[in-house]
Amino acid sequence: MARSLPLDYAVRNLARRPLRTVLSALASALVAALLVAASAFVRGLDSTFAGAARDDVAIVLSSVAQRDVLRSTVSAGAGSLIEADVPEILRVGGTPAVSSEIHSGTNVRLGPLSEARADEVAHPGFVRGVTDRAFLVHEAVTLIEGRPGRTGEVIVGRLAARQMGVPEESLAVGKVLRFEGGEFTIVGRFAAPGTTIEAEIWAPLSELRGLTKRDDSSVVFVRVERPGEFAGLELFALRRLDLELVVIPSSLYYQELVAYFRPIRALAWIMAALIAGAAVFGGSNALNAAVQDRLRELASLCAVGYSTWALARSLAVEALLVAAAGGVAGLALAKVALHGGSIRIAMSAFRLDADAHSVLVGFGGVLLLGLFGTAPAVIRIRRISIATALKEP
Amino acid sequence: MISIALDGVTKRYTKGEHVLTPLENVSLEIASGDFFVLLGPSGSGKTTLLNLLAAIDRPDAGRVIVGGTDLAKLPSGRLASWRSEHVGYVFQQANLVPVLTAYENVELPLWLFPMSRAERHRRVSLALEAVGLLERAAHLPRQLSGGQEQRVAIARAIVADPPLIVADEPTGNLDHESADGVLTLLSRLNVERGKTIVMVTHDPRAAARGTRRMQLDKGQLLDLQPAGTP
Repeated sequence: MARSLPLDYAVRNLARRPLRTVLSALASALVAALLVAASAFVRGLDSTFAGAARDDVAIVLSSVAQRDVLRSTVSAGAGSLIEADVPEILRVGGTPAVSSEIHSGTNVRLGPLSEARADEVAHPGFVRGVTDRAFLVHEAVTLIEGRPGRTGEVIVGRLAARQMGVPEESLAVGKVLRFEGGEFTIVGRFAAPGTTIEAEIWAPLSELRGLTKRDDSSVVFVRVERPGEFAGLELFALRRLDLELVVIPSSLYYQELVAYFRPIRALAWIMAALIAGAAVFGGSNALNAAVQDRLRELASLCAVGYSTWALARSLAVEALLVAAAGGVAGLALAKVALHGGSIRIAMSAFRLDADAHSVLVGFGGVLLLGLFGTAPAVIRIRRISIATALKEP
Repeated sequence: MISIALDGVTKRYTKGEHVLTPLENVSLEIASGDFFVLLGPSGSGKTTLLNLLAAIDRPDAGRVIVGGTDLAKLPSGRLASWRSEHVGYVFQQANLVPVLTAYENVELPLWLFPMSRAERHRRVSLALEAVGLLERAAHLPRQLSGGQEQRVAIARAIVADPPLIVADEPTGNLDHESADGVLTLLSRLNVERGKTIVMVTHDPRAAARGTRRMQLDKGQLLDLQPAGTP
């Protein structure tokens, strides 16, 4: 037997208290947008580090640096020694995929020195000193504009401006940057989707060494022929105790970074959950008030022959309609708000993207919360005494 | 056609520390096709008795047998569907759903049955025609007078063709003219369609429409003279 109230009843009930309905829908929209944002943030954070991780790339860094690339110092000749000693290294066109690099968190100033003003601001940036071999180990990096840099030139990741907190046009090709006492012209821009690299500035290694008065590197990235084949590299590090090296597969390194940022992820979800909780509480109160307002009407529907479950279902449909309407608005809001947005975190930045997964989390979440919010009202309806409720004013 | 029997029915309510007993060891038989009128002062238990007959409430003791079914023994999950099949309830206030039209209000009980849209339309139209409000089908309750609302409520009560109609002070909120219209309608349903009607009222004029009248006072039933008997 069909025992449900007609859908029209649920739909038209929404118009009985327009302000209450609108406020509930707005709360749903806010929750949906927040859930999408939280999901996009967490997924962006995870994928940024996960995207940089590769099974066939290992990071060689100083054993005393406690896995901190900024503190690590590796002998300048370490790269050449590794090339000569480790047979598993991938060679591309005869060139070994070994990249000695300097990683430096530094202050970056915009424009040439000749145009510098007394009140100019220094922006924190992440500069990586590299050679052309960097492209062999960091496969995700693709030049999207210009060409690789030479002496006095840099290329910048497309999220570098966001990471530094400066307008996009400040880091356009042809612009000038100053850091570590040197002046560099931007000659190219690169993409490295889903990696931390996308927020970096790449400068020539030898020039950066000179400017920072270093005769070493921070790390050496090594790419091997087959994924996980790091035994030769580890043996090299063990044999050359004088170099004080440690080998970390890049997948493990970035996993550890993900773990490091776990509290931030948790915080994002906790914030979303708190606001969602408040919205559920508000929505739940609104529904309870709706039941109180309609107590006699609901009792008369029971007298007609509808079960309290049928009434509860109709109420759930009302809640879902509001949640769905608010959810759609929230998704649109999130899409607009997150469009092209990115987040700065530590020495990196990542893009926020309302992808299908985040949309599902936002919309599904708000529907679930809408349903959850009906629970107190449903319990109340289930306990309704028809005889008593029929006497309600 | 449906007959009713109450056998030693007691109903108690607890209000704080007080126990009220509107019905105590009440026994009653209503024959199929009766227009039974129950009179009595406020708080005498008339509505309680009506609610027991309509399976809206359960007795604390005794049996309520309607159409051969002992309602006290009917599982809770079956009560709603039993009501939809056997009882049409007319309240003192029409209790129409304000967001639905007269047509949709009358249609409500039919959603409980597997029925085509065309069949629902046919039945709703017949019910509205029977109460003389077919031309008001598209009106919302607030666009109807009190008497019209009550007639729509009667149409809702009869649309699923239940054998028993219970009416709780159906004319209590109406003027004389509207009340007469509603009572005439109930009489016609009783005479022309053979519906068993149990009506609670304060109004002696309304009571006069019944084929049998009883007075409920202090939890006890007293048989009154049949309507029309001097």
